Amino acid sequence: MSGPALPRVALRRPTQLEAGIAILLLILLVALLAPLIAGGRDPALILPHERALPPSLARPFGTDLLGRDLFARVLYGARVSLMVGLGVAAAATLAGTLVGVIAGYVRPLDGVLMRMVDGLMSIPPVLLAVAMVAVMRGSVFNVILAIALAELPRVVRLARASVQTVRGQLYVQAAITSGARTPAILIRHILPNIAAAMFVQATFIGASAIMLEAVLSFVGAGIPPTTPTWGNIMAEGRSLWQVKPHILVFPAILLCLTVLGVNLLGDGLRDRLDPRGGGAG
Amino acid sequence: MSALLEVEGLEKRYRLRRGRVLQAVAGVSFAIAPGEVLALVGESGCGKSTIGRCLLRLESPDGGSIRFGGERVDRLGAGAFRPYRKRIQMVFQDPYGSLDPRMRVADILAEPLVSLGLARGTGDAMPRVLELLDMVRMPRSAAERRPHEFSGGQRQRIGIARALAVQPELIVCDEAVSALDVSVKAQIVNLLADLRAELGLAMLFISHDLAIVERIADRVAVMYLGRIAEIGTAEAVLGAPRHPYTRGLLAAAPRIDAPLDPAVLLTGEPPDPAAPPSGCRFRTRCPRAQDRCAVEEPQLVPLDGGRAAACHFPEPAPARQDVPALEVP
Repeated sequence: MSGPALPRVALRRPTQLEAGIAILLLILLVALLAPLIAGGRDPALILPHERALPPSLARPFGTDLLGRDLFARVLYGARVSLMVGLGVAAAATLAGTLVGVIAGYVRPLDGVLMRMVDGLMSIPPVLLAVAMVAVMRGSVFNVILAIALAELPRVVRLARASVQTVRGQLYVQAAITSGARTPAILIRHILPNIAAAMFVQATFIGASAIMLEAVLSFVGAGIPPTTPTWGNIMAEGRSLWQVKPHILVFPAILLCLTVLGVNLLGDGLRDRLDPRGGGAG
Repeated sequence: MSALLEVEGLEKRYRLRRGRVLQAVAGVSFAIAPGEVLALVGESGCGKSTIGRCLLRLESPDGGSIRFGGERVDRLGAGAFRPYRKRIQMVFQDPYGSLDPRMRVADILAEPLVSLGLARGTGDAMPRVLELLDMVRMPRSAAERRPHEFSGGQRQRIGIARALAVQPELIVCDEAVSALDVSVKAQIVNLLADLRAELGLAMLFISHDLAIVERIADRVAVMYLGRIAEIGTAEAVLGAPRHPYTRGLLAAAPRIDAPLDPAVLLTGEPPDPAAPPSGCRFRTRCPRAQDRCAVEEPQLVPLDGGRAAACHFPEPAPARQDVPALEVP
């Protein structure tokens, strides 16, 4: 071989993990810098004579039925989506892991806890979230709470199943014969060994929460319509999508991109967190 | 000679579906002296592992007693039993499953020391960890690595080192070499034999591999369906078995110097342990079974050469014998 070697970094394909992180960082940046990127466009400003305009240089995403700038609304909407995704992932995973670990390790409580979770699970997530938001008034916090509760059963079941797998492992029995007490076994052996599964699950919960929030806003049960979210923008564009597709398309693209990023992050993490994988993922 | 471990009439039952009960251990008694190796042999499912698990409280026995150093330990609560964990430790069968994949070897070896209050943390336990690695002939650099970086034999050395960490008087080896390749198996058995000589360890060596038992055991107990069929010195039990089951078991182990003898080879499967045969549990497969065997369960009776067998019609004693046999009525 002759000639200088090409830099390898430039040639290597990004891993799933890297691609996911890159997409999410981009969207996080968009959400944080929304006022800056929007360049002074006010997402709430109503201009009746500029209703439902198609995309142009001045209005990159066009305007909605009230003449509000869609570019600004979609950018600001990223804030709600990310907040809901992150909030739900954190809340559901923490609470669900706690309940699941107790159910999985403390035999006498298993039956009671899991029947309660089954009950919760028998209610369709959208219906449960709609009912909760209807009772509590729609706000970002309440929407996060409602979606987290709807997602809780999935987390509990995974945590419990993981704990039961791990507690049957010989190394847990070895810890018992080594004299380790139950809290030590839970913290040193059980939690680290289920953490990877829970973490990956958290990313999928985050993705599904972002979509569920959009669904709630879409059916008008979510965050107040004055706050722009991808869901309520799409809901507005739904009736006119054949003649004014731009209203629906832009928030939909961003929603897809975000969910894709979160899923890539989850898949990449799953490969990376396997102690035997060595990060080759 | 006072015994280190005395097990008296140990019983363990498992409830199965539809009210059926599996008696895994049905009244087993034996003793182990300090520094002695007792091998527990038998087919899979005969209850030998359950006994080991009862000794370490991974299972709670349903009857009988376990004495350790003269103190009764089978009725103690989990907290009261903890001091005994310093004196009795276990080496597990599967060297892949018994080491936590997320822990470094140093943390694995330090765990018993920290859990039982002999060290404040892995750092504090480090001198002992390095000493343990030396004892099991592992490089000291292993301490910083994780289990998946080692072969099965090396992992089992780590498992042995963990069992030795708290300087126990007795270790239970539950099929400790069964999962290993033949060449590695010999190395680990030799290591155990060396450690036992160096440290004066007593062992309960649970195995189905008679060649290995012969290498390491002082005494042998042969189990069949939850009961001891024959127990005695390794020389007597393995050299000149009196119980037909022991004989069949030995005949089934391939040897280089003699062909398998089809006359004494066991046929068939062991009966369902949840519904053992009446009388002698072995009678359904026994070439010497007679009517009495279906009615009366034989008890362990002392015979020649410091061994006892539970059989109404034991095999004849070897032709040249130094100790006269006690005749069974």
